[in-house]
Amino acid sequence: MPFLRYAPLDTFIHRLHPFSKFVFLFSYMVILSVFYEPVTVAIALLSVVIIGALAKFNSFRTVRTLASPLFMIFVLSIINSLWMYKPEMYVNLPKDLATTVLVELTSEGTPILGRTAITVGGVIYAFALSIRALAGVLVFSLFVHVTPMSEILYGLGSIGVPKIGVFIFMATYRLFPLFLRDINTIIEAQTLRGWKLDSRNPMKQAGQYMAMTIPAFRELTVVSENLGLAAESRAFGAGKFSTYRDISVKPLDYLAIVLLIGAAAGSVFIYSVYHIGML
Amino acid sequence: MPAEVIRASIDFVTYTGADHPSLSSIDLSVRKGDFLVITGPPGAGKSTLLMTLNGIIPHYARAKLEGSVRVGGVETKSAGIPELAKTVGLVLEDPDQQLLAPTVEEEIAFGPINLGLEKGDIRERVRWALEVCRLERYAQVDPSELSGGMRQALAVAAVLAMKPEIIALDEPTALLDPLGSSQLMSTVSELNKDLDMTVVMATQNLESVAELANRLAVMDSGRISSIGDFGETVSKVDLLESLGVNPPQVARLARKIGLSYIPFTLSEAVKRFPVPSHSRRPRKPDVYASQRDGSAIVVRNLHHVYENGIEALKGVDLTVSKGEVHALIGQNGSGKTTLAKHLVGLLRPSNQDAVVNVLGIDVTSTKPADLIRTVNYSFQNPDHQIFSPTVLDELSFGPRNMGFPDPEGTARSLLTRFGIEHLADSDPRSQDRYTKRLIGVLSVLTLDPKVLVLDEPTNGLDAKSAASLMDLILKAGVTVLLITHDMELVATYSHAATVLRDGRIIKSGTSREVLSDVELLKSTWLEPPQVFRLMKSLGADEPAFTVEEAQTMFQGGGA
Repeated sequence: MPFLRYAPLDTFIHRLHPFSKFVFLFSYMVILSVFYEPVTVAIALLSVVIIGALAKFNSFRTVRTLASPLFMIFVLSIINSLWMYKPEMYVNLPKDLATTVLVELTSEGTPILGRTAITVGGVIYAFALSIRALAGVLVFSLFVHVTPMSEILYGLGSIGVPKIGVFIFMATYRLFPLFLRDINTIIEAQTLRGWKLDSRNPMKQAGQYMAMTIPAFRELTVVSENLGLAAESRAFGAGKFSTYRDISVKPLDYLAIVLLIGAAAGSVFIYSVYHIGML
Repeated sequence: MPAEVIRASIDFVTYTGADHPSLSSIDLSVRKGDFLVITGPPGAGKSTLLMTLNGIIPHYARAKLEGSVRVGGVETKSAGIPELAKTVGLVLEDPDQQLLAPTVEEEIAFGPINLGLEKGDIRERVRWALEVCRLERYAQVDPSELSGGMRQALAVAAVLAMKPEIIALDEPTALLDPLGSSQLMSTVSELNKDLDMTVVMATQNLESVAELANRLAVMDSGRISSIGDFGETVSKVDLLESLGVNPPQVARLARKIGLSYIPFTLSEAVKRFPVPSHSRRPRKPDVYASQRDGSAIVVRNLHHVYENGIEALKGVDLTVSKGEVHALIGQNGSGKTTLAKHLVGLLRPSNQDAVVNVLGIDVTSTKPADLIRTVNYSFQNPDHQIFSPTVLDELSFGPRNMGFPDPEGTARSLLTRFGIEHLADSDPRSQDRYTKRLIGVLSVLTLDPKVLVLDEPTNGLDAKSAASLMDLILKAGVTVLLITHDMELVATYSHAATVLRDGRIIKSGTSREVLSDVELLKSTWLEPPQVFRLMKSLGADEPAFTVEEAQTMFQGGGA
């Protein structure tokens, strides 16, 4: 099943009211933004994988698809953690362990950077950030997997999101695969004209990027304009969105909403009061 | 007389920032049940005119409309697009750029949902549109998994669900293969004939609509230069040809041999044409014969399986001679592009024992960068590669990347050779479709490849521009592998042809041998040129493939 696509299945999660699905998205965003310690983030990730399995969503396949960007996130997180050598940055981890320097990169007084080092705490932090990013992607993919476009429109319309916001959501949903396809063709076309990105000369490299970005953005503009035109031609934004699906709030929705909001509120509570989820 | 459903009296339509109007002095009346075809060269104003019908102009597009357009009695200027969408449904050229939803059912429901209709009503409309467009079996399928023709049929179904009185289609078959075009035209014909729906279609392919349409408008430079009964208007062969629009081949032939009545459909032509004075077509002098020496491309037992498990090539064998123009034909998804990408190293065979050899180079073990000067590929959409501020820069890009000693000099000499040196300092991005396509091809030819793959080089061009582009390309004297759905192009320009179906080659030979095998072509939804079918019906032993050949068979010079 392709990444970021709705799957027309009939699981109980698919049958939930769109509002419950939006609550799922929102709650997990809250939970994931609160925690930055690997164990709590991993528990959140595991719960997403379990919910995904109930919705017949293949989390592992999504992870495989996203292996490269996730690795990039890990590298960026490591870079971000290079300044985490101060003891006051850690609450739960033993300070001695957290600030243990694995590799000293630059010393105090280095222009612009100051002191940078890879520390045990920094690595744990980078690891947690990567899991958090992965969980975030899975939550969004799972939301798309179980929510058809009509429910998204209906859901966003019911909670008062303006037309432009609904369109941005819808266009992003559709543009992503089209844009990837165009990028691939552009890379192929330019490669056959000797295009490559391995020059060490920054000026030349900038020129090489132009060969890809200019056609890519032109295509993006054309595609978005045509999607806009197609949507307008089919009365997009005429009034309140309706739906043709049987959407009703069932007991399971109440249960899901209570559990999800409870989990989000509980996360904030244990973080604030007991400092659970802090490094 | 049926009621008038469209009345357009447009003084002008001008896009913001444009220095001249895109439409001017339009006076158009369409009656209920009409099938009006609007034709004309690219840039004539066909799409702009269609966009005035559903209020996209002036409400959505940045354009000023002076005058009046009344659709179903409603003035479009004062009505909103959603209101007009209930009267006019607009289908655009590219199905991929108008489908928004993740399933077929959702796509069709999108319009009625926007109208805020009741659940039951939406379901009923979805069911009806699925049935009319024969998509019932695909309700829960992702639209991207449908064929091109079915995706365009889905775009039609999606506007049908709005229950419009009029359906407007903008070059709906331009990006489709013959099968897709045929499926779509059959649906549109049923809408017009069985449901009495008014159809307004912009197209350059008059042959495909000749049996269906009752009226024709010819546009040029934003004006309607001729409008009337389809047969009467299409018989103005000189006018159409002067605008670069090809009337059906039988009409062109009738004009050339001086028939007093110009037929425009094959069935009518068979009744009207006399028996040709020669039953064999003239022998065509093969001006490239001396160049064809040895093999340029050798492919043996090529298999390719994509990551998603689709087996695109199933043991393909192909030989292309040096100096030859070799057409590769077949439906979308038959494996043409997959095969062509193997020749330039963009794809690798899935089997170890495959042979892909171009001018003696084993492509399977060579990087694309090392093949560039031997074999190259001109992509269908030049906008996927054009990025430089001037044509000269664009053409120098490849030679510069490849370390040519004088990239600009190379580009300049090519521009001179092709007679377009005056374009050197102009912006390639703002050129017309023909010039962009030419720049796209030249930007590859500057690398001096000996073998060139051309992917649908004339798609979207008017007939005059297409002929001019092909003549220029042939001047380069390289071996050409031509991917196309245009059988007239194959008949006119290619020496040999190969037909692919479902990843296998089902016929390979001279283009005449291939095009003569009517049954085989039919099995893959292709047809030989119309003039061939006419001459065959008239009893010719060796029917002509082009209008010019057929003319000779009537007027002398045949074998």
